[in-house]
Amino acid sequence: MSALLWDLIPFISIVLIAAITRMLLTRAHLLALARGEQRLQHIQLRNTQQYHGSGQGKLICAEVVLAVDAFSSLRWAIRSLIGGEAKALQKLTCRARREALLRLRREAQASGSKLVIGVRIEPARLNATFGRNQHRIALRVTGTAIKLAHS
Amino acid sequence: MLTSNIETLPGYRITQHLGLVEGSTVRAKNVGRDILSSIKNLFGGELESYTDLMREARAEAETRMLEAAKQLGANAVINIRFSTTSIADGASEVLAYGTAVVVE
Repeated sequence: MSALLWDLIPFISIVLIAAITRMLLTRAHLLALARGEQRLQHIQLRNTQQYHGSGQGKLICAEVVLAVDAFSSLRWAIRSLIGGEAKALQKLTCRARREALLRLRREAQASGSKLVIGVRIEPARLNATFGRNQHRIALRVTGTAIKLAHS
Repeated sequence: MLTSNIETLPGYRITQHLGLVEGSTVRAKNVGRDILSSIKNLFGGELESYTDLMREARAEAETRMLEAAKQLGANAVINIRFSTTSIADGASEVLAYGTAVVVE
């Protein structure tokens, strides 16, 4: 019994280290997102196409690819058996979307505009050579940044 | 070259439509970075090498599309769309397409 326990220790410690790393990384990312959104909240995003004001338009894009971690994958595996909402994956897609939109705001800021119209959020398909069974969330967002002539 | 992903180009008036232009690229990623990024699937996080792949492929496709538009004599491309597909493992195709126009 105790021999079995000793055999399990490396496995358990890897799982623990991964769980703690995941928690810290997630927390750091959410904090960075909140800060970035706070800092760039003056840049407005719209998904409408019409714009009758002044200024010049320019296409801007941003991409993000997030890994679906082992814990979320496991929760998804269980969830897919019993059905219902996969909260773990939903949280990840939400993070990916926030990150992508934040990057779009940064792009807008870099091109000197405070308004982005025609914003589109689209998923992308990516297959890996190695680890093709692992899941990832890939998004691209595009928009037309409006740069005011006097700014 | 002026660009937009909507049906107009704010600040300009479209005088002539020259038709659809497109540009595409198929890119693969270094397998070493692929293996490294698969470790991230344990504890999560951003797969920067994939993000870079998507960004580089999109920039290349966009450049080729703009080149095609230039040859048609356009000075802007409107309603630009991107589509990303995975045609093989480890490779990613990005297609950029839009309508070449003359604006003033």
